[in-house]
Amino acid sequence: MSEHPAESGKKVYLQYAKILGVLAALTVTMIFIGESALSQAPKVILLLLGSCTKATLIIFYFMHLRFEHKGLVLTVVVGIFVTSILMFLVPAYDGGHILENSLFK
Amino acid sequence: MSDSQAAPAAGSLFGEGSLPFDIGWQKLMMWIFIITDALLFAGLLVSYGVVRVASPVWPDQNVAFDMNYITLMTFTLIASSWTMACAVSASNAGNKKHVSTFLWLTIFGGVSFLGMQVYEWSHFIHEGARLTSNPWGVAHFSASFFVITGFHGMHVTTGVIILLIVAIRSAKGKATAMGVENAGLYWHFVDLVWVFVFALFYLV
Repeated sequence: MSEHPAESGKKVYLQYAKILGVLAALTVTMIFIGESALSQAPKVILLLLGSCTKATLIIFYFMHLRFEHKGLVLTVVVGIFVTSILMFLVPAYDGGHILENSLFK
Repeated sequence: MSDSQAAPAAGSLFGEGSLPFDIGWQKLMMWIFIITDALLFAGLLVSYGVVRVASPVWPDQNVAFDMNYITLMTFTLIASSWTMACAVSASNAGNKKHVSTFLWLTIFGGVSFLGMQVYEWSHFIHEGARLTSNPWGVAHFSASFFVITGFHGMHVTTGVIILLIVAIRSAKGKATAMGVENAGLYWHFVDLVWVFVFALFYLV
């Protein structure tokens, strides 16, 4: 028996609501991490991990990337995540040298 | 060189009439725009990261901002992303009434977020923050704040305008499922960017 469109619609809304719940829980967890007494390095790593998890949920579920062609998935993942990580790693490494010779000292 | 070598054959991956990613050109263009815009924000956040690493001191965000308020802003934007996802789903199912309801709820979320951001900015400026100076000592702090959140706020404003157009077109029965989906992609992207702005600017 086929499902009534309104029923299937409600089911989908509920599924999205579950994603929303996970996103909200992750946000609260990240706030606790941000407020914690952890030193800066592990805090940044944990917050970046949390952000990437949230971003993955948004991209794959809300933006429906998991239903798209593999080529598009790779284009988006490499295009955004890998390039952003590379973009961050090089200046972040150099930032250490900047700090050593900082004008603010 | 023969013609068959010069142009891809029909039916091949990049040949005439084929869709390399199995999606229409509008959606593909939206994804390409999202990738480029994401890299623009990544550049801004990386620049901010370098400034943070290079600065021996940085103001405590809890002193400069009301974190409960920022959290409320974040939840508002996440919730609007949920309503947008529901609007896209309703649009694909052909449920016009639900599309309209969810679109207006998303617009309400977007406008609420913008209103809160305007209040946050005015409060920050009232406390003495300027693009080149602020009471907390590190000039880059307020500069980063205004540039990053301002740029994001501009995107939210654009998103609200796009959603308004789509909602009005939907009410007139002119909006297509593809139009709603593309507006949704943009709106989720705005939420996506805030995830990183919130973590890296307000929590680190």
